Amino acid sequence: MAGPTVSAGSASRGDYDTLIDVDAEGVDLGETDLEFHDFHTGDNVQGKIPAGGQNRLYEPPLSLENDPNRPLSIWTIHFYAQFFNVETSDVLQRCIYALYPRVSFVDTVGDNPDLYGPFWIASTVILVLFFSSTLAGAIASHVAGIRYEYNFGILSAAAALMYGYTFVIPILLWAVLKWYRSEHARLLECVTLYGYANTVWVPVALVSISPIEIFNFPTISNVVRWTSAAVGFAISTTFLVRNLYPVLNSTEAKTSRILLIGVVLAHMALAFVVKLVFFAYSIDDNSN
Amino acid sequence: MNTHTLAGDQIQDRRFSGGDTLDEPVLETLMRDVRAVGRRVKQVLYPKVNANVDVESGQIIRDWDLWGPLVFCLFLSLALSISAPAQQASRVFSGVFAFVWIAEALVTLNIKLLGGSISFFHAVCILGYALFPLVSGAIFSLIVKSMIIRFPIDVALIVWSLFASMRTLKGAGVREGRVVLAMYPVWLFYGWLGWLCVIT
Repeated sequence: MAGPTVSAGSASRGDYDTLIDVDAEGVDLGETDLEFHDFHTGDNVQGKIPAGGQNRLYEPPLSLENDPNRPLSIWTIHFYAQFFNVETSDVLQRCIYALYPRVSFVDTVGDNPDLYGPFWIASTVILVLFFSSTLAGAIASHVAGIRYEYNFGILSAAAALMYGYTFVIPILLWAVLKWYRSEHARLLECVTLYGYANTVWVPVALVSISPIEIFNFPTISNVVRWTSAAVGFAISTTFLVRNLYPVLNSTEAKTSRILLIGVVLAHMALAFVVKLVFFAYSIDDNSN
Repeated sequence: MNTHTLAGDQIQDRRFSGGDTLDEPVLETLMRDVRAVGRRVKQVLYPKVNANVDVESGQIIRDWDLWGPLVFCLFLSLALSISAPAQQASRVFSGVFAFVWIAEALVTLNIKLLGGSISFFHAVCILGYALFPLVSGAIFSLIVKSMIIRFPIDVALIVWSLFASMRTLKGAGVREGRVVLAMYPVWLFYGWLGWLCVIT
């Protein structure tokens, strides 16, 4: 094996660091690079350490990188863990503010926009929409006396709709704001805003199940569904506009008005689609 | 027990420590894995009150494998697809199959991003094994057609799956303040699959 020879006699030099006798300068130590594994001993861990540190299951928590100066590459998980730096209470508080938009959401979020809310609230809305839509269909079929056949395409429709709306519209908004050189445009905050604005669709969907249909009142349940969709639209648009207003205002007056109208129209389209696609049951028509 | 290759290197067989397995009958090889899957199912799903047993049962689960999750996912998709409306059968099969794997991966990724200290495949393994009650729910739905009867039974099965996976994940090593955030997607996952068993 090529490389520097190990000389025991070097200890006599009194320099215990050099146990390797380097014969000539320019010897490449590349293949004998000794690198020790960076075992995190857990002294930076602020939270609960699972019992049994030698447990093979234990891997160092990702969000507690102990080198703040090292720039994080977007190809590592560590980069994305920054955006999940929230506690349960934070998420719940943000959801409540989305449903009751009196406090400035942007102030609540502060410097800590998260991606947990947008993604999992959108996923919840998708599954709840599927649940409510199929339950409403089952009730309608029961009333009509036919066997209920669910449509699995509802799930793909809901997924395309919610994920598309929650992630694509904020990106478009941010791109437009950047185009008009607004200095307030921050992508992650737009995504967080739109993500939490979706919370309102969960109660809307649940109300739209409207089991009154069982009592053979199809018109009433249609009214209930339209009303709940309208209320949902009102709440979430108030939330969005209230929080986007200062951002949109940082562009010129005409642009900001157009952007505002665009945001409201997009949201109205969403409310319409939610009502029409998922809750269009009537007693004698239960295929969706 | 180490086996030796021709080059003289030693290979440590991770799971089996009983000697050379090349000459045994195929059935024996298969049954060993089947028994391991069975052991893991029992360990994930039956509540063990005795704390001393936890050490040994932890060892069983520590060697994760994805056979159990695959088998359960297949049976679940099959059962749901058979009882689905006629023209939807293939859509339901592929939909459920894809949903299970993608959702398991996303739930585990979520745990990792929140700072969880559990290993990726280990968590996927637990989530997959805890599907067993829902598989029985789907098979039950093949037999019983009434939704009113299916509903409470499927709710009970969802709760069983949930508690089994939550107990085995043990909070997945995230901080106290984030345990609900980490576990909530698990509820979504089993809840939706249970609902599908009800309406199918």
